Amino acid sequence: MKKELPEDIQRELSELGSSLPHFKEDPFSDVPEDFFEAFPTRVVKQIKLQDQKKPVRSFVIGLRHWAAMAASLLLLISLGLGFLLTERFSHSEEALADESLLADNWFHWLADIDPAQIYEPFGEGELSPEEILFNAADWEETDPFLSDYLAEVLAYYHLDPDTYFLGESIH
Amino acid sequence: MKGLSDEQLLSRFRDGDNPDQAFQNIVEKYQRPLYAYLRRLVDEHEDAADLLQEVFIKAWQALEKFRGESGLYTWLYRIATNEALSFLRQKKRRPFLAQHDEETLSPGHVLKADEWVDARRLQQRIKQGIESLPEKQRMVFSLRYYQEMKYEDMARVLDTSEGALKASYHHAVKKIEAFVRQTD
Repeated sequence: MKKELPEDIQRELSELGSSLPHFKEDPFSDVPEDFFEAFPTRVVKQIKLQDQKKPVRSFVIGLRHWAAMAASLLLLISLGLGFLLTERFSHSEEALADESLLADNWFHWLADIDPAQIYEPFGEGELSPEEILFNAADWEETDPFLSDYLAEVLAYYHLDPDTYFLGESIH
Repeated sequence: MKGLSDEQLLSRFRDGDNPDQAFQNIVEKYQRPLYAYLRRLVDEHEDAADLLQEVFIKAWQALEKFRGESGLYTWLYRIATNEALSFLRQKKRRPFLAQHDEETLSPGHVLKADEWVDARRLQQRIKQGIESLPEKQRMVFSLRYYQEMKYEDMARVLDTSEGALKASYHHAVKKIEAFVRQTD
């Protein structure tokens, strides 16, 4: 079925020099019978159906909302704990690094001087080198890790453990 | 109920005893032109019917807030345009070109409607030409040529100036003509 275009559209096409037809086909030719009769009721039914589903959907959305909140909270707590632990750990590491640096400096200094120079000012009969310096045997009892570390450092600087320390455990 | 103005229909929907019935009347009034518009954009009846339903569902959801500044007629076309655009972008396909390319035109008989024995062939070529247009231009052509909409209303539906719409429509006409000639 053809339908003629309104005059103003026909005139416009003519002004454009267009040879497009001045009629149009019926777009409803293959629409199922009763489609338009049933459609308004069908739409309203669909809307009502969706409205009924809304509370359930709202509950699910609400649930999702709370789950997201809980997850965010857990994440925040985890991040906070992680930050605190990292801080603490880094402080411990810094302290250890400082200790190592001090020990290293001390051994540098020790390697450069003659032990006799250290003990000289104290004079004979006063403090012995062993008393002035450390008692490695005691360290081993109290801090075996440090004792081993000192042994390594002494070896690194080619220092004789017996010159500086007492105790059999340092080699 | 037939013959009620948009204002009367809206008033019945908002303030009447039976908003469902009032809405049904709105659907009855606009379902055919909106279907025709959508059908020419998406081609398949099933797609057009689904989109039409979606348009009215969206309209129902937003009708409470509708202030009537643009008029119910252009507002519904606007929803339909957005729905069709989303659909076309999702599908990213041109079914008509793929499915209906088997027919050929007789040489020398293009575009002269009064000379056509089978006008449907020409209409199909035009349809193919429309399918080859960019989305927005396709809508401009459909609204003007098929829906016979005034530029003033088209400007509200497509949120574009009348001048730009006229230019777009003229380009679309030329492109479709060129397409029809090319496929001859």
